[in-house]
Amino acid sequence: MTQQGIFVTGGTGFVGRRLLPLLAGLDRPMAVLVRGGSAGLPHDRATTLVTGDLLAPETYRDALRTCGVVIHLAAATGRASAQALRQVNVDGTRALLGACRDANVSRVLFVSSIAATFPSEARYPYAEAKRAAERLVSDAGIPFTIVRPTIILGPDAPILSSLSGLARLPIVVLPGDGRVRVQPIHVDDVAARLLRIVRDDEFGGETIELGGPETTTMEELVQEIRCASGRPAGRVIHVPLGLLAVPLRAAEAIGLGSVLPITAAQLSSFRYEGVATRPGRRSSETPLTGLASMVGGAPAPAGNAFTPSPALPGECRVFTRYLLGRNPDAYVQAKYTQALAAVPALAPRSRFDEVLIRFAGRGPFAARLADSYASLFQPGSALRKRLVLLLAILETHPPFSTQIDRAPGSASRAAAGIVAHGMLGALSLVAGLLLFLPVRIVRGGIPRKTS
Amino acid sequence: MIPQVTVIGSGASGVHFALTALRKGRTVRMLDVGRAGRAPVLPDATLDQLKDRLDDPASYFLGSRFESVLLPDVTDEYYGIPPSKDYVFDPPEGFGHASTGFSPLFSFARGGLGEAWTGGCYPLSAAEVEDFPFDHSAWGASYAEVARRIGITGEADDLARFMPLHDHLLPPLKLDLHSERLMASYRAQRDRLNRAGAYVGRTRVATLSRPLGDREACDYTGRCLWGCPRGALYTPSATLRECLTFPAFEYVPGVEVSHLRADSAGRIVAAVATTVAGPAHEFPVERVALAAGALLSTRIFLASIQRESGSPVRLTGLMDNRQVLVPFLNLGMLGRPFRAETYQYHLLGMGLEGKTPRDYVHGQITTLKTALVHPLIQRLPLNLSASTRIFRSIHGALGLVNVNFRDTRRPDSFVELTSDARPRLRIHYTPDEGEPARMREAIARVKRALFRLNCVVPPGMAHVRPMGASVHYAGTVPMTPAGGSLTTTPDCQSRDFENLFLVDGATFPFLPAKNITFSLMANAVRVAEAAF
Repeated sequence: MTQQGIFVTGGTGFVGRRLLPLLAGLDRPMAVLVRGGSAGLPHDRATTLVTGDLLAPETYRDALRTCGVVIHLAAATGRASAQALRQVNVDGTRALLGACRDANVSRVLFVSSIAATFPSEARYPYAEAKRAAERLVSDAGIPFTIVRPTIILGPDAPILSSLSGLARLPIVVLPGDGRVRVQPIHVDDVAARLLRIVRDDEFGGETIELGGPETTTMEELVQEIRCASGRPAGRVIHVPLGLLAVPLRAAEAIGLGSVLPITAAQLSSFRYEGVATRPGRRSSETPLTGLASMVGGAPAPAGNAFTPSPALPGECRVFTRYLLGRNPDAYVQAKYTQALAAVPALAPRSRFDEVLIRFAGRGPFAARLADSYASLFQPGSALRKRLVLLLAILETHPPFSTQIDRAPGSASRAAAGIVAHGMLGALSLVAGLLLFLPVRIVRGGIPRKTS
Repeated sequence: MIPQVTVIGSGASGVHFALTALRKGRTVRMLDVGRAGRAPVLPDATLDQLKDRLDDPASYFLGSRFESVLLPDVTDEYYGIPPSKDYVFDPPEGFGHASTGFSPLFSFARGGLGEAWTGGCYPLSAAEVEDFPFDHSAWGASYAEVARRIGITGEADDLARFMPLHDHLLPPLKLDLHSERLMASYRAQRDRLNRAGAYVGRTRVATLSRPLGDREACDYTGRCLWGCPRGALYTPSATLRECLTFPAFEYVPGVEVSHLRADSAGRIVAAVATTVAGPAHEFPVERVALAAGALLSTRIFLASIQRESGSPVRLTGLMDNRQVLVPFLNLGMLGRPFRAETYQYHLLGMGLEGKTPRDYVHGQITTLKTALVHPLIQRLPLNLSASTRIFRSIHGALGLVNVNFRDTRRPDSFVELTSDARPRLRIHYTPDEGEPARMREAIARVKRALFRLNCVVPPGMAHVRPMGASVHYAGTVPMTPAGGSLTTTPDCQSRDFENLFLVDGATFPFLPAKNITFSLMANAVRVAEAAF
């Protein structure tokens, strides 16, 4: 295709500010729609600042005529009122698309949100507005790509201020059970992906869900943010979403919305999974920024990523003894080693991930404690993944397979077994919690062997 | 020489259309991508013997790269497709799609999606065929013919009120202990359940209880999930084998048809295909039967029609069955050992009367025995050692009801092509507004019925599958009594190209809450009977 000009809305926003310098590298004419101030925007001959209003197409129609590609980032988010959310995100998008058609724009890149995948709910107007805007884009008759990032983190991320509000309290009050999963992505990774779509002309009408390399729970994320600000991990109190929504809505109704750490509508982020189902990454791409670097607020480190240590030689034996109370045979050992090499997901992704694995490798009892903790608080940890993979190998191979499936024989024995193992499991969980919460607080430290 | 009929696709619809045409003396060429599976390993071994006798059982059950292991935090829908059936979903190079609200599965296998089905064969009821614009008595003969060809086991029981009986039903398969107990509980609670509109009975299954042709009867090795080694469970490749015995049949694998080329009179003259070997190739045609599966047929149809009209076309009305998985625990089976050497797919079904007969809700009941257990054990909220020991006590008591809901054609669910150099399917699905309420009500009824059967459903465990997961796609080019472009005649002849027949689910005007494969095959037979 010809090197067409690029028109950007929302260029002064959180993503826009990181994207513009990258776009400048494409060496194509660029027009950026701004409302007034233009601080921090690139000043070069190829970039034109267009002062205008998204809702008033006449203010930018002329600029559009010189551009073949439109990157639509402008959006009302977070704490904006339902009316503003609708006006900017839906009416604004409609106005822009109308102007695009008039100006024969040939490509539209729309940055939506993972919230568009939340179940339809009138109480979350942001998600509704994003969904409506997506429909407008896909029905506009212009080749397009829609990108739905998950939570975007990085320096000055708007969501950090909301979540930090929760994280800084002496006791962390978390809406919902905190187990809803999120997959934060670094702003620079979002910008890099957007750049590639424009550069490689990927406008096939696709909707790309974009998430970071780690999936964690909302509670973990809040604790990470807390730890990053130098506080120890805090006690968490879970408040049912329904209980929170009512007073929040009442406070907003009487004009107290601005002093609250969160709006009633934003509670939806604590209710629905914010993970990307189709990451849209190719394996050849550079690795994405890890979670720990995102919440710290520092720029993404280059070449400084966490590198896991090699697996301990006795790990398979310890884990098999822990799971089934017997030693593995040579076949199980060989398959486990093969899996560690073949399945990238088994590598630890963070320092704490590695702490869990190394501790568990010390013996079956240690494995029980570490796994108990992980079962509840780090279900996606590399330790848990290795244990599940080992269990999968064991269930295909006698005598381990028959042992896994050996029924107790009667309902009374089954009931007794369920109660006994349930209680033991709960005890291990308490012990695991006592042990690992402090370790979690001193994040990054690996307990050293004292012997 | 140009064959009289060119069939595109070797799935359930295509092979039965082809076989009927061959029996009527036509020459038939079948164009197919035709990914093929491997021959079954150790065909005489039971499942447990397989684990013992295979050199590398983990590779067989989990895949050579452990791709069938379900690790925690994987968010994609879990299908539990074993490595031996991977080829069924293996796409040609460069194949892609863009979907919103829909997670489609595509097959380019020899035999199509039916190579990985679970064999449910449910004839449509009188109410469910109302929208089909042809003489409804035609269904009976077509169902009987397909049943004769593929072998369907079943029984005249309480579920017959929802699925009419037809000729050539084979005696049912043996029940496993768990299913027997469920039936005993049902008999004890029958009146109360029936008053609540809930019925339980035998499912109809395309699995042989006696030999048929080159296929052997089920001998209860417990290997159904991993690929029946005896051919007892019908798959369309069996009918393809039968077609291959006709000298007038030519099977051309390794080609992916991209579109059909028409002359100025709107008559299709060639099927244009890319071959695995290289550049595009044209196959001259006389009559074409498009049977690549509703979505892939739609793709070929769209590409063909856009080439003629020069403008983008959107096909509305895409349907699929919403499915909800409801796991349950049969208290009477707690701690009991179970035999893996039983039939593994659904032996029982649960039918729920709807407000109208079209709103019928269909459940297939599977008692869980030989599926991988690590995906379940990791879901228990304890450490894996304790979870494994607890699971041992409940494994024999576990079951699953796969609840299916009907769907209707709506303008906001559609399929079109992207504008890339190599256009891809873009699928957009929007459920109807009444769906959440309908699901809630039905799931509550399923739970109540299970409770009467001495079963409990662990809270929060019912799982709503994404649209597309049931793989019953239909409705994009409907058959209508009269109409214009983008529809077909009641005999599935395109109104855009007079020598084109759409013989798969694309033409279905309504999607009842049942596996439609049996009806697809019956319709293909009916269309071929009418065409020749």
